Amino acid sequence: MTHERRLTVEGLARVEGEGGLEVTVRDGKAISMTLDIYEPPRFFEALLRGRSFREAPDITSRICGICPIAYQMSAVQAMEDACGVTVGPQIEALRRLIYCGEWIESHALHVYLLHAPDFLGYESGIALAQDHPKEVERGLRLKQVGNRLIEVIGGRSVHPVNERVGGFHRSLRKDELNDLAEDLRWALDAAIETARWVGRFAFPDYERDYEFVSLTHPSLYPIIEGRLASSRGLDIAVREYEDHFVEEHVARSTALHSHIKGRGSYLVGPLARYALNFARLSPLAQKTAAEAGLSEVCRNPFQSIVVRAVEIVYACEEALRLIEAYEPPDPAYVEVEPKAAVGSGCTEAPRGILYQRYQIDANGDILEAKIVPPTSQNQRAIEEDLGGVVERSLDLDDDALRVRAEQTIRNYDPCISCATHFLTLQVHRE
Amino acid sequence: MTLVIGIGNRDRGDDAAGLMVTDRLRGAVSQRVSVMQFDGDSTRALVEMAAVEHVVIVDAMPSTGHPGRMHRLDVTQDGDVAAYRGSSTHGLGAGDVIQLARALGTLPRKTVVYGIEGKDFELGHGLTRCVDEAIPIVVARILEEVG
Repeated sequence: MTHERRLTVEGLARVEGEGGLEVTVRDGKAISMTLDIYEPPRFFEALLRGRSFREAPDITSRICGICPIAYQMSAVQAMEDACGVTVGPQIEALRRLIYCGEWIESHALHVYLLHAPDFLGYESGIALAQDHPKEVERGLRLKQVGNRLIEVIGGRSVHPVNERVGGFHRSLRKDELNDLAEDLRWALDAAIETARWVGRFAFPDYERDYEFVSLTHPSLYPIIEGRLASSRGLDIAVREYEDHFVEEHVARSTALHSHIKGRGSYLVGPLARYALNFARLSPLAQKTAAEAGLSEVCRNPFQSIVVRAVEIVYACEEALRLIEAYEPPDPAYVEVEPKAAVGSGCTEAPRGILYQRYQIDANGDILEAKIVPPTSQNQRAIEEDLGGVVERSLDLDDDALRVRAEQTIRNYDPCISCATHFLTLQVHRE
Repeated sequence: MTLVIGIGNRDRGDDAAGLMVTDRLRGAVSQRVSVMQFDGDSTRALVEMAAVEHVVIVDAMPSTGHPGRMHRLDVTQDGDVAAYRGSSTHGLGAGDVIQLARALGTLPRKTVVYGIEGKDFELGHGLTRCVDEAIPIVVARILEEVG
């Protein structure tokens, strides 16, 4: 006799944006799992057309309140690539520094308020705060350190305004960064405490042989630099991205699905960065990872919370290093003259690689824009995880199974609003 | 020490109401009162609130059919802040901030929320007339409360 269970969740909590999920299991096998993304598309790529290439960082930063730096950075890289301009090491260093702020605030928010409640049995970050005020306070203060870093360099903490094609509108004096260093020294200790805390959580027994994709660089843990690489041998320049990665529409999602040509799903984000770049982490971040129970490659998506904590450690240390070595860029930006060309950029948003490509004309007007956010690249991997996790968790009753399925999605810290161009969960057991 | 916090987004119609009120309060309040504004994420409001004894939060709220109507809620003890819960995990709204502060034990001894019912929250729109007309009334009421 055929036995089917169908699990449904409508309106997933603790993710950004609107979507749903449905899994059907027949005789112990997941026969369909869908992540339905019904949030309306926002048409950013269309509204960029006809605008000046200089406006792209300010327009794209509006796509997301949590990762505006990622959108700005990939955009300015693409424009500088199109115009054949290279910026100096001081500008690169300041870009990397402000990006550290984004990793700290985004990861701290997800670790403490969005993901930790899953592991400790709370329905929300607020419920968690009632029983674990010390930890949640630490998380909020960590997030605040990241936001402050963005505010000081970027002019404001949400949708910062100081970045421009070619560099920054205004350079910062070294003394303007001094207060940040003090905050970051506290944050580094707090990040190590965070890794110890989440490392003790109980993780569901689930691993998958993902094809990890991230930027890689010979000497740096990648944030804004390097080539695109995968755990199955891909090694390409950013401008070759579209030769290897394909976006397609699927009926259930207003976010495009991505796959690697000839292979299928892949995974971007903290697990991928960590697996492909462990050797480039600082010794302290490596030691923190080991003490929190991680080996050099982590294939259990539930442990992404630990990897995020390790990346907070890294980002705090790296920010301190960059502040110590800081020399104000002078001038604050390189003058960029437009030319008719196509340019591409790719940086490591907290959730994974964010690719952008623009075609501009000789006046610098944007003729075509393509933006591929990390969450849309991860959709297929999320669906595959849902099937795999639900198959291994069929002993759970429907409520517990639903919680597990939601937790599986939150492993990815999905940003549905960024991806639409994304959740409600439905599980059917028939 | 008293802190007045305005929350909102100037580019989203009536959502700007909390900012418009605090714009006018700056310069009108006494030296014992500080005024802060947040657009979008209000995590920092949690940190700032922890340091004061009296906080007043001004924010726009969804309409119950009377745009421009002012609601005063003393949420020091409990009080229903559900109406003020944000809809995004990417930013904490006024309701989240109050609930978190209460859970963390950092809610000021007196915490009051002024909600102004909005009608139009569309991108690029200004305040609707009834909300615009309510601003000086809310300003006067808060000045009476905080001095």
